[in-house]
Amino acid sequence: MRSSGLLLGLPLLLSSAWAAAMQALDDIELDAVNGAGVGFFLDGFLYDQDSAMARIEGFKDSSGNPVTIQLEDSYIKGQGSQRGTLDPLANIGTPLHPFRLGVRNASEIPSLPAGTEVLQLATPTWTDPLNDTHHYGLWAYYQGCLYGEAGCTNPDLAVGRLNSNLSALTSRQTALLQRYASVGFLTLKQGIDTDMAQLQTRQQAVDAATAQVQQARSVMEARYAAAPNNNKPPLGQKYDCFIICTNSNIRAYNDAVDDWTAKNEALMNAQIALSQVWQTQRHGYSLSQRSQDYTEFASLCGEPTSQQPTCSGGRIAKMEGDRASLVLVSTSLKDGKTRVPGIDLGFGAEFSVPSTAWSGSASNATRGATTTRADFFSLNIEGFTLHGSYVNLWGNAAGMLGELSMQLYADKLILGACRTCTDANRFVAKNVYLDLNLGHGTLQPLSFSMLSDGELRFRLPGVTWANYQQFYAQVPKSNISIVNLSLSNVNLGAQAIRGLRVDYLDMRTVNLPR
Amino acid sequence: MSKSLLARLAAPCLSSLLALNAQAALTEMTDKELSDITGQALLTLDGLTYGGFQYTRLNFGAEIDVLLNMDELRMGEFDRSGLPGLASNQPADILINNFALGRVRNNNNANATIEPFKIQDPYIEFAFKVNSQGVREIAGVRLGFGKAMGYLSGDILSLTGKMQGKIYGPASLGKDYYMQQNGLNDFTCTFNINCLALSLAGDTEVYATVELLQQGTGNKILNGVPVNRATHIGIPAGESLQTDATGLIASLIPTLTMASNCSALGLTTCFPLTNYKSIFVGDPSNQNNINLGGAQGIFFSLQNQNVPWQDLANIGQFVETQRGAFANFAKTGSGANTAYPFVLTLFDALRGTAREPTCMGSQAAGC
Repeated sequence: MRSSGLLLGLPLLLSSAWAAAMQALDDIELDAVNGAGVGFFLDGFLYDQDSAMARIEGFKDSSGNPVTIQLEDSYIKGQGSQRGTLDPLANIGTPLHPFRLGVRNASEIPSLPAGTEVLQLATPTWTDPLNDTHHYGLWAYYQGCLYGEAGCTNPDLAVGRLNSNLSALTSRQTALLQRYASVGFLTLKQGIDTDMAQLQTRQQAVDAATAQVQQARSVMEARYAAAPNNNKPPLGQKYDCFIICTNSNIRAYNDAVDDWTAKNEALMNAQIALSQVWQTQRHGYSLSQRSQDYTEFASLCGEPTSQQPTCSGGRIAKMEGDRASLVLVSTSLKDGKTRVPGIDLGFGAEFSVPSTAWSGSASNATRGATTTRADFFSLNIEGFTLHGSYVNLWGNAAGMLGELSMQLYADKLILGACRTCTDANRFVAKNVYLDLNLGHGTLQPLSFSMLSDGELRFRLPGVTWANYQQFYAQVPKSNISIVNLSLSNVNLGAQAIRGLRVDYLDMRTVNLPR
Repeated sequence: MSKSLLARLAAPCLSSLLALNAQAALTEMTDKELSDITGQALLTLDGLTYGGFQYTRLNFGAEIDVLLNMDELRMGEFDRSGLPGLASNQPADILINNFALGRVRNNNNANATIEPFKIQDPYIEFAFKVNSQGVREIAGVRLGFGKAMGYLSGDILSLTGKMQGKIYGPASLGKDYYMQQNGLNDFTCTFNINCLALSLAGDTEVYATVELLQQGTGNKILNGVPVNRATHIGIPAGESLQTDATGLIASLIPTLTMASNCSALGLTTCFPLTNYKSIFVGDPSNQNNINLGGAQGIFFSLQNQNVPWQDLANIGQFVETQRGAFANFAKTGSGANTAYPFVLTLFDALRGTAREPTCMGSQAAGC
């Protein structure tokens, strides 16, 4: 194991010989600094596990058999290390763009409740478009290929692709506006609300009828169990008694079947009545169609505030805003500017895992013996940056609270299952962008707690009737995208989750096996 | 660092510790209790082999209640020209706008409440295969759920995989719909052979399994493989409505309702996926208990070939897939024990299902 050239900078406390931009503060300047926290960076370093081995134990399979993991060849180096085989030095932060750990308050962070102070860990932030992960990650998604590779040297591909998507959305907007041009969207909304009130009433009737069916079925099942076995029909069918049933249990069961059948019929009628509301016609369109159209328009353009609304928000406005980011990035690239190099990191691992052999047809396979399998697995990440990420932590009577924003970008993420092979045998994801935002200090603080049984709990409070307008305007969404995924040289294209917001979350860990 | 800064740094940590102490009410375990606990863990790792593939699955023990909204879910966006099974010109294997899990009841008034989607024990699994040169390659990856229950909503523009639901209801619903679609009344119905047949079937309960298929033909297999990038769902060509009832008319129903070219008895049997804005995943009669009502075997996967993934809902079965993205919402069990990931009344199947609101306020989606 070896490391090289480690330099830890504490800009407020130390002066670094390397960091020419740093200057000593005079007494007046020092006096003005209060609670500014600590900045740090790692400059010119590398980590290489080399031939050393590390072992992880304690994992088990679902049957309780031990699983052993042997780590090998782990490394952290500068970008261009060729999967750790070369030794370019890595930089995590710089004197001008350090990681920051410090106390911040609500006057500095608008999402926090008034009077709240938090402990914040923030990664380096950059304002130029190539190193601002929001701008670059978005551009990389629309660009559709890894910039600099063959066929991907035109930075304007991203803008062209966005324009094409935007055109499709505005066509839908125009079509919906034309459909209700003589009606107006406020009038359309009034009609939907009126019909929805009737829908809710009928939904309640369906709920009540469902409960009655369930109750009737329970009675029927109990009486079925008590009925004699001689010539017993299937559950739900009556005994054939010709004219009269002499056995009281049979009569009771047959009555229960009649009641269950009647309740089912009532449920069906309630469902039909409910469904018919969706067919209520206004302006030539059913409630179902009107509701879909209104929802689609609101999704495209934001909630209509006039009879002939323009796009004030929604996906179209968002996409138009995105275009500005793409232009900034493509302009910078055409000007010959470059990104600050990221880091490369990776590891290999050998898993010793119990494996059960199955054989036979896919519809009727047979379980065979369980033996121990030795699996190789590797992970490599190239050009990895975390610019613009932060986590804010604070506490109150509810426990530890937080909000986090993770801005992760990597040129490539490679998973392998072979020691001696090429990327043609691996999982290769390009332009990987994780824009993950969880929690909002005021409207949805993320809480962490430990339950009395030792399990962990993570909660994001739900949106409420009292705060939903602020919630939807302020709680940030998340995006995850891979521009190109290749699985062992088979192209599986782009994968994306766009505009994800978790409106409520309650997650409790559970010990396995259950 | 000033004292005030230290105090402020310590405050959140101390308050969290105090809160944890107050909430946890931890008590010491006895030696007996400790000795009873073996082999439990938050994460477990399982291995298996099948059909020349090796699999490694990482299980995560968790109970998750969630309401989420997503502008767009896009998986497997690549050129499928020349590949078998292509059922549409959609650009991606899975493409869903306004995707959501969970719903909001009474969304547009002060009684609005969140009804979350429930997930139990998610997992991630890798499939490996040794190629003809003896090199061990990654063949696929999937994300699945031990159990899942609740409303799944979205504008499903394209879907690849298995989506099997049950539609059920009295045949009279089909008659009502048929009369409405064809401008018939009770009198003219008697002169229309299809309408008459549906009339004779009366309230006989009928049901069918609906699956992904090709618009127009109703085929669920194309070029020898299951359709991909499907835009429609319904009763596949050659299949029909079934009934458990007995009697002459009941026995004729499967024949009378045989689907061909997306039609049976003059009724449409293929429906745009976009008609189904919301479906209930799981058993609707056990909505409060995921252990009883949760749908099993649901997963999303990516693979470079037909990777047979273990069917965790049916021991001894494997789910056949194909290159690209794949979503599995397959029925489980057989006969009387068949459980469907979603169930629709015949009325809803014929007309589609409206979106359950997934946002608060007047906007049902897209928040």
